[in-house]
Amino acid sequence: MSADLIQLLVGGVLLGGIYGLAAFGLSITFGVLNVLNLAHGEFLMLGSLLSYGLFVGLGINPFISAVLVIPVFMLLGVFFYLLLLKPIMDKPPHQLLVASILVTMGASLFIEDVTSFFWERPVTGISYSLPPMEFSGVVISSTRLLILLFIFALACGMQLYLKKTFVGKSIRAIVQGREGAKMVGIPISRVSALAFSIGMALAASAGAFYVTLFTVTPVMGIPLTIKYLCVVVLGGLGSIVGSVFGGLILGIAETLTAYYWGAEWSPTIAFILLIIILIIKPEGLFGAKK
Amino acid sequence: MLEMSSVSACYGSIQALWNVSFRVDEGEIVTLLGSNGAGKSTAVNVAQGLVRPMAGEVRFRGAVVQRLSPHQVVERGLCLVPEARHLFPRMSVLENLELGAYPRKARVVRGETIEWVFDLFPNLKKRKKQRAGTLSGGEQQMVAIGRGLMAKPSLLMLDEPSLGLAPLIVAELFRTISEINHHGVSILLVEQNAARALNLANRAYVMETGRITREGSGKELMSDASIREVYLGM
Repeated sequence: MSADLIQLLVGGVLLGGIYGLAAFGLSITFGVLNVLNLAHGEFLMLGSLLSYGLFVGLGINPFISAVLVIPVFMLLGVFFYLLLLKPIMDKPPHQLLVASILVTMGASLFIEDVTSFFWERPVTGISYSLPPMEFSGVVISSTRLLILLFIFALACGMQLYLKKTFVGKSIRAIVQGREGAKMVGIPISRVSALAFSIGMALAASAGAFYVTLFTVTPVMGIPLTIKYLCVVVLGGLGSIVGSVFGGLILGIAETLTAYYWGAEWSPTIAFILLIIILIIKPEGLFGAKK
Repeated sequence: MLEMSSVSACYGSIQALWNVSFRVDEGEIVTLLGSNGAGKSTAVNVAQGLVRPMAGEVRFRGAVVQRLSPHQVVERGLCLVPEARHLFPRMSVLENLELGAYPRKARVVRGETIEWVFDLFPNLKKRKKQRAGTLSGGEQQMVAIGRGLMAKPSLLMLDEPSLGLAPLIVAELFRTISEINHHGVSILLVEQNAARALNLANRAYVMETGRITREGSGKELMSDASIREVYLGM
């Protein structure tokens, strides 16, 4: 394998890691609440801006920001849930889905406009980097590698939390059977608020890294949300491992496309992958067959 | 213990319960008989807090419960094992049981309760690592009942536990239900299998099109000519 290709794959995996982390959050929200959160990309954007502000203003390392944003956005997530989602949660499932799309779409536009108002100029990324490493001709940015390790640790931690702790298990229980969860006495509303805030914090945390790789603007949220939806469907709705793999696949595909066919084609690949998966395996790579 | 007084309930514009009253006393096995669509499941769903009644009152151990959410009802010791079982299919049998002990009081004694459930259903012990979705229908029913018991209920409501099970397994199931009752758990049994249910129950109610039409002791209803004809096919 040529050094170029390895270089590209490493870049793709990193990009995919960020996609996966954010999509993981979207998947939890959808699985637990049956809510399609179109404001998800906005939280990533806000996380990015916060991380940018902390870096430029106070010189805080993005790795620290990525941890700092978690409690901040979990708290915001609880407020968001109580204010906007709780009032619609009693609707029957199909109505809830539609209502949630409308409510979160509105929230998304609102966040975008308010942010644009206060943040007049487009933000460039932050120039944070550590000395690169070189292995037999392949140059690997050690910043990117560290980010990848961090994302990996966060995803594993999340998975352990969901698999091993009682509260984590009750989150999975709601995903697997909402009715059953009610019967065993799981307080659906409280656990939903928690799951929503976890999803939001993961998006914001992904955002803290996003700003080290890309430029950030207040209007990037909605296109990102659509990309994450592709990732979630690719991996399988409701499957949390699936969304991480879906993210990795998309990240690698985008990087390869940009290199071999030109950067202008890279946003398209998400939709091409989506169409392919919907034709050959409609339930997604890791989705449960209905 | 559980007391429903003049409860009416609807699904959308269709009224499913009309002025339904019944009660379950401490230590009893009470059965609710009736054909499909008679409103039996709706009645237990109202008691659990899953369906809100339009009118009437539900009391459990003296307290009014019809405005509580399902998890608060479970915390008070009233637990429903639903007809569709609603297990967590991609979790192991053990995890399903553990989640059953969600209320704080039940969580403290979780280890002991699991041992008891495994005594009641030895098969489950053998399969504790297996995913619940891969079990047979009878075993899934055992997990559902076991999971209900994990919450340490004082009244367990069973919604058609015998549905779709082989006769031998049904016989075993009814023996287990009686054993659970001997252990001090009162039971409200919703059934279509009238012969077995009446044999087991202290008292029984018959429901037709959303109303309670008959009530009496198990033996009384068992020897009633019209009940024998309609529900026992004799």
